[in-house]
Amino acid sequence: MLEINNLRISIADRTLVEIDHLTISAEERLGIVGESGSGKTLTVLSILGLLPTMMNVTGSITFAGQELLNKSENDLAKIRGRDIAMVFQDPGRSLNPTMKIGRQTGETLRLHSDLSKSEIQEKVIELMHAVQLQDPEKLASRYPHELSGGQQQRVMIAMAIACKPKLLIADEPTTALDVTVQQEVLKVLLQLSQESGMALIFVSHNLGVVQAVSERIAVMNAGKIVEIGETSQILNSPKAQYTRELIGSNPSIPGAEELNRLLSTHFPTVKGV
Amino acid sequence: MKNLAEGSKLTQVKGARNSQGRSSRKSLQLILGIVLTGFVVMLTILSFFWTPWDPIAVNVENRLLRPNLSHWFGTDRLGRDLFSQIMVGGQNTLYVTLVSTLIGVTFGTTLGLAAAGSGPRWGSVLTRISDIGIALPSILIALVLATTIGPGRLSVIVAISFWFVPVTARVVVGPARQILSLDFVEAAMTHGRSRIYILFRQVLPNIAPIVIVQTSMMFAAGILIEASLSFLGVGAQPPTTSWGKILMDSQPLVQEAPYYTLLPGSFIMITVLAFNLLGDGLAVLLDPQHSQKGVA
Amino acid sequence: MSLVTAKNLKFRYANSGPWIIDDVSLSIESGASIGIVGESGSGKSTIIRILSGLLSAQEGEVVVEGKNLREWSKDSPRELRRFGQLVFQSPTRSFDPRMRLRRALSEPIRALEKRVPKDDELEMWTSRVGLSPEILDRYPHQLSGGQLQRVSLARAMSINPQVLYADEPTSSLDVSVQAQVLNLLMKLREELGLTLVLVSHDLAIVGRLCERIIVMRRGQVVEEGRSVDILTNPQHEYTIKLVKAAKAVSLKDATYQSE
Repeated sequence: MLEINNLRISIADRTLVEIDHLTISAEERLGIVGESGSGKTLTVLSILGLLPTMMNVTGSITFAGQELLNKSENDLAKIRGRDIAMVFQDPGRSLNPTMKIGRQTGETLRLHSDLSKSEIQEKVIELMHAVQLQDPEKLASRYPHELSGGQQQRVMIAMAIACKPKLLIADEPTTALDVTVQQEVLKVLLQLSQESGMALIFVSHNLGVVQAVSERIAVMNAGKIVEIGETSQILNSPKAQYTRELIGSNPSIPGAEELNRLLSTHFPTVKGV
Repeated sequence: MKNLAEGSKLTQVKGARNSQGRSSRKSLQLILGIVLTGFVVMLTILSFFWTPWDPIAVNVENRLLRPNLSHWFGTDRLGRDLFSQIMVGGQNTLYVTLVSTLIGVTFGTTLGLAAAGSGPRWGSVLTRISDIGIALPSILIALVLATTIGPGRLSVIVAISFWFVPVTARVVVGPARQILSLDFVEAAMTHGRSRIYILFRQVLPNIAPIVIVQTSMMFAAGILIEASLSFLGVGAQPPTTSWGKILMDSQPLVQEAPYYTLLPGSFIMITVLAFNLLGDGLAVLLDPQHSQKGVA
Repeated sequence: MSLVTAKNLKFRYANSGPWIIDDVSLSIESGASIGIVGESGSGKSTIIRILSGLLSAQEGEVVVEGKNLREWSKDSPRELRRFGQLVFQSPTRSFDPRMRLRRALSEPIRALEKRVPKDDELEMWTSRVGLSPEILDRYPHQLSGGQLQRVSLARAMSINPQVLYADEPTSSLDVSVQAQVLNLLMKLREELGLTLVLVSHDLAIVGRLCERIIVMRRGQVVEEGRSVDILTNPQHEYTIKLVKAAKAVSLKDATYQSE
């Protein structure tokens, strides 16, 4: 469904991203993991033509057979929100602070469909249910600052899926959220993707979060894809050295065995129960 | 790590381009400000030792001469050289402004620091007091003082300072509060440093650029206020002259001898502009250092 | 033996806002390594500021080595500082940008012991945290986050405190550097017999460094116990939720681990 070939993103004479080949099939959940500066965000921004103008992009990105890189702004605007949608890291900054939630959520519907006002209102409530927001009627009449971070992010997701896009790109959507809230947002993303057959590209620096929602993972470093494969393969038998380093630097929660061992070595005086 | 370095280089490329373009324009501002203010100050200092003509000497034959090669700004009703008067007038104007600015900055900064460092109760009391001070126009205060203790330098200094203190306090409070909320202030508290120590040894040095810029801006404003007060007759009394007084004397002769108003007026305007340029130039010089560190 | 005890603490900022700390009691044993975990709004950062004496609770009391904090303030406020050193989350914000590190590092000694530490004393501390003495002549912005955090540790330790409160000490650091700083923290703790209170949202860090965990939520202590119990067998429904969410994004021990 989405195919990236020979993508080169550069600024002045420095190459920032160099991807020879990357595909995402319909309904697939792909995770892209890398540290800051790895080029992961630039890559997904280039899909929607959202790169800063000073950057040069060459290569090919085809979506449903159409080449995206040479489309005009107008044509891209038709695709954005309708066929490909995106969710960013900080929902607080992506939401218009002076517009009520209900109205904002209906924006894409107003732009891309010809539903009537009341139909849109109904759809908005439906969408808020879909992202597991409680009391959507009440929330719809609130302003963004009255919502918690987790609620805001779910509103962003609701907005993103409003027009039933074929592909949803999420760039660090849970990085700014508490771990229990993150859990809920991840559940929502997973569910939406599975139920509506929407493809998902999940970008993050946190391998633990990425593996929780992805079927395949692409590991990026210094603008290149260092390794790509199924999640279980990447985690259990990583081939690239960098992947191994990445796994090693994401400390897991110690299990009972390790905890008991730590107790006896570092805290021998603590009485066990 | 390689990636992180690349990422931050990206930001730096953008930042460098901006600052290069901006800084050449802005440093011109600073240079111009320094040159012009330096010129005016030099001229004023020079006037203690020498002026082209004796500013007090009456020379009725030469009354109201247009500007020419021997009298650069022309002469007044009594034939006295205007340029010399401007030079000597500067002594008074600059002195008054300097004293007021020093008082304003010292007391104002202290007041602002105190307001920032106090708890919510005292903090708002002090802020309200300074709000009142700002609202009262110094011209009114000067007029009141003139009728009670009489006109002259002292009244003008008190009037201007009365306004400068709360204005400075206001400018200082915001940034001071910001600094106080930073972790290193908490760290100093964990080391046992007292509030006063923190305010003067940690907050003040970090808001110094703001205070310096504020000082030069206020100086510019002070010149204008002094000139206005003297123009109203509240400031310098004869035989002391000041720029405002020169303008006052020129008033009835605006049609007959326009140069009398225009040239001294322009001189004042350029001096004020010069101090404003100095202030702006300093602002760019002292602050971007901080904001650039933030970007990188 | 309890070194620091908190009894029924209540704290809020404004006179009529929500209670940030809502009836918290806890006890910190001498030589312990205690982790306080919680999410945003839990009050975990606020509680250590109250325990260390930076903030005063409106209700309740804090007892340090048998004496109430109020008595400490009256009798020997400076000595209390040995029971309340902090390491902050953001190393760059913990240092006065206009102060060279030599001076910054000597601040606690200057303030508490009213003396200027000699160069070799400062250099002893820099090498203890794995830094070369030449950093002393630099300004904070010239060091990396990891290096600065080490200086922050050295600074806190320089007066031989009895208790060290670390507020998310590695959250602002790159992942690759986090492990180094945490290992340093543990090493110093063992060398100096320090009581450590570590605040973090990260259960992996707290699980590895602390033998006890206190779980906070909305200003209250929800559960506390040995780390091994909290992480393998949580009791309170919030703790269960927290541990489950954390484990869902925690990598199981991969077969290949790099050094």
